[in-house]
Amino acid sequence: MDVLERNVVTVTGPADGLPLVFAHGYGCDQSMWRFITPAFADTCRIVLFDHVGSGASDASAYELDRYASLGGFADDVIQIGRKLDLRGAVLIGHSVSAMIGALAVTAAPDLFDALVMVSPSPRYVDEGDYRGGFSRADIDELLETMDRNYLGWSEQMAPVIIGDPDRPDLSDELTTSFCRLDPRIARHFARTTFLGDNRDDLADVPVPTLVVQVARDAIAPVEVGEYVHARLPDSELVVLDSVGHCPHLSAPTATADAIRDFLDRRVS
Amino acid sequence: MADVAEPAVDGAPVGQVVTRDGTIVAANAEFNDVVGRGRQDLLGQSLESLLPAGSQIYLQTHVAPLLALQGRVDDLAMDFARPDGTTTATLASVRTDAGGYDHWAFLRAPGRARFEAEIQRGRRVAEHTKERLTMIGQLSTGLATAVDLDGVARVVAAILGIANDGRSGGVVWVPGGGEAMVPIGAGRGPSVDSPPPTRDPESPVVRAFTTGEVVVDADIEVFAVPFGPSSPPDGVVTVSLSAVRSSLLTDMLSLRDADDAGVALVADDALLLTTLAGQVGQAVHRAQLYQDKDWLLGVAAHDLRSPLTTIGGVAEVLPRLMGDRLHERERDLVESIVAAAKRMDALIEDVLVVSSSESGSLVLDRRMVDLGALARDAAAAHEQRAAAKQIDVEVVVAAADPMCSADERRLRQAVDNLVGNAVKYSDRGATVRVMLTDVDDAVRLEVIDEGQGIPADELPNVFLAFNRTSAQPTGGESSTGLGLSIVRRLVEAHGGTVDAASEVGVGSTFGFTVPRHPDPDGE
Repeated sequence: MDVLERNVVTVTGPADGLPLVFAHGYGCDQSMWRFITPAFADTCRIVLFDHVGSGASDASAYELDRYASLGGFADDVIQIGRKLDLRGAVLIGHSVSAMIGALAVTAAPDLFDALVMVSPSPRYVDEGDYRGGFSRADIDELLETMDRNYLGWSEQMAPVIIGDPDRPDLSDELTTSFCRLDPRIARHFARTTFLGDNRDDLADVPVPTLVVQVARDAIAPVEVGEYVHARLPDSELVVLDSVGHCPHLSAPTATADAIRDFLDRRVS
Repeated sequence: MADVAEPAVDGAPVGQVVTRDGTIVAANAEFNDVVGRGRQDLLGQSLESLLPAGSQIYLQTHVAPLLALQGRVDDLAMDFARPDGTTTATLASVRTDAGGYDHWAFLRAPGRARFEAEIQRGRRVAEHTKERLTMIGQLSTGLATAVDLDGVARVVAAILGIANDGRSGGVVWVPGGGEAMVPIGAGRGPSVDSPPPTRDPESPVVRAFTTGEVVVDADIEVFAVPFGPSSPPDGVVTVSLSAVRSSLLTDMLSLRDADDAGVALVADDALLLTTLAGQVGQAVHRAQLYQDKDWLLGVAAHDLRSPLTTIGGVAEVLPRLMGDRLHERERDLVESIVAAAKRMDALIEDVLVVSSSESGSLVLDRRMVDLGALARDAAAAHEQRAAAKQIDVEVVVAAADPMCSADERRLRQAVDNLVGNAVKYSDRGATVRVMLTDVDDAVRLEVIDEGQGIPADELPNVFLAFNRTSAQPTGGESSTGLGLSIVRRLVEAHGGTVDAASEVGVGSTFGFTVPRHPDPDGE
């Protein structure tokens, strides 16, 4: 199957614009970028996609072996980049996709000039002096919570009617469906994400990197953001005065501003 | 709290909480009960801090994005850990208001866990059953096309994913007893983890299963299929045994299938497996009959020939015997009896060819045959009919060497059939060309016509027996539908191949290629 079809890749914006590749985090799909892509739509080439197993991607392409580590997902991103013949692109990854992005830019520096990591964590489970924030038992409890919600999740996927007078740009979409995922794939992806350890990959990132952290994020606390920033060879850390793990959803303006500022200064 | 549209209401039947950026700004008494904390302890706390760490991750990664994107999330299973060590299971819903406040409602659902477990189990059983149904569907399709008992064994083994190495573990008896034993699978016996069948150990069914021996009981035809799809290598296995008495399923051993959820098969599974057993039994029965049919066909054809010879022979002789006493009109009637007898004889010959080639009893009397001569003979044989439709039959021998080792009578029949067809389906004034060419160690004969052609979707089936295409004979001739299948059988009996190409409105090319010399390893 064609890579662009497999990952539901959408490309918008001026053909000669700076290519921005947005990689969504665990638990949702490309729709989570919808609040900040408008800020870049006029000047940048916006590339959105769903990871295999998320959103509207081809779930049958989800191979347990390939996606048992983040490398499989990084390889998909590289395939997309090559298929689109990207040059000098910026990879913007949220949560687990921040590390997926790190792996991708390291393996394919010809495609990418910069990396933006939104709420990253290279390892979620505490080990020795390292504080990821969680224990192994916590991750098991996450999986149990997912199992408890297995039944109801398919009902969540029923399309909802958007009718928000404050968001006229959404008025064309009468029904849509966000964050679709197959609960069984989500379970496997959760294990890959939350039981992985990619701390050693930080030092290899060859491009300038922006780390965007949220001040009160239980999943990726500021300490982890500082850890990431310290180990990246060339990075900046911005801490947003906000709450939660998804600043691109809860504080889209501040997030977009931080990214634009970084792009203006560090990316030609 | 003046800007909160709907504050939490004491006395509401659900726990209500209002949050802003995740922080609790209002909570009702019922929610205090749910989490086992006083209101003053809750205000200013983050809602997620009341949940275990794993649930917090779930909330932030699954729920929060969805809530941000669509403004509501329903039917969440959320378990709160109370300070006293107990857990409150709830079903939660949340929606965001215009002011950016999130309104949560928590319904206590003490039975939720048990209910969910039942539904999960039901869901797994349904998926299990769906797999079985798919398998049965595949089995039915596969078995419908299997025409021999070996084929049945292969199909069953392939679909059930088990090795067809002929060792004991499963045998199939054709109803009628003991004559067609088809070893189906490798000896996958019960694993140490699965309990023994809960039946009388002396029952022939149980003996067959536990010992792997072939067991024949006068009354019971034992039909055993080891049934182990996608079993993990450490030996958990599913086995189905059914006793077939006079083709009726009368018995079913209890089964145990331990998948990773420890789901035991239920009554519906047994019903499905019964169906499975029946399907296999029927298919085996059918395969047996099919083999018998060929034999019957051959016998019938031979027996028909004898009275036919009398009819045709007498009719031919009658005009001579009767002399002048037979008037012209009566002479014509007698001639039509002779013609009909000849046609019938030709038809019986066709049926015999089909039957004998299928049963492998077609014997070739080989010698070096000039295929070019056969082509010219065929053209001559159909000259009268062709002339009646003003059709030209040309023979072009472009082969340097048109000789091949063949049974002249059989190959003549094949060439004759093709040329006859071409004439039959061509329009007035058309040309039929018979071409002979060399192809390495083989000789190729093609009959090219300018007839109505055959539609592309019918072309793959032209050489099948009893196949009729949409093309119609242009001179009112009849067609049995056997002709091309006979050509195929005769050519294949010589180790050759047949082929056809066609274009509607343009014409068709039917051809065959036969090796000059027989393959020393036999055909």
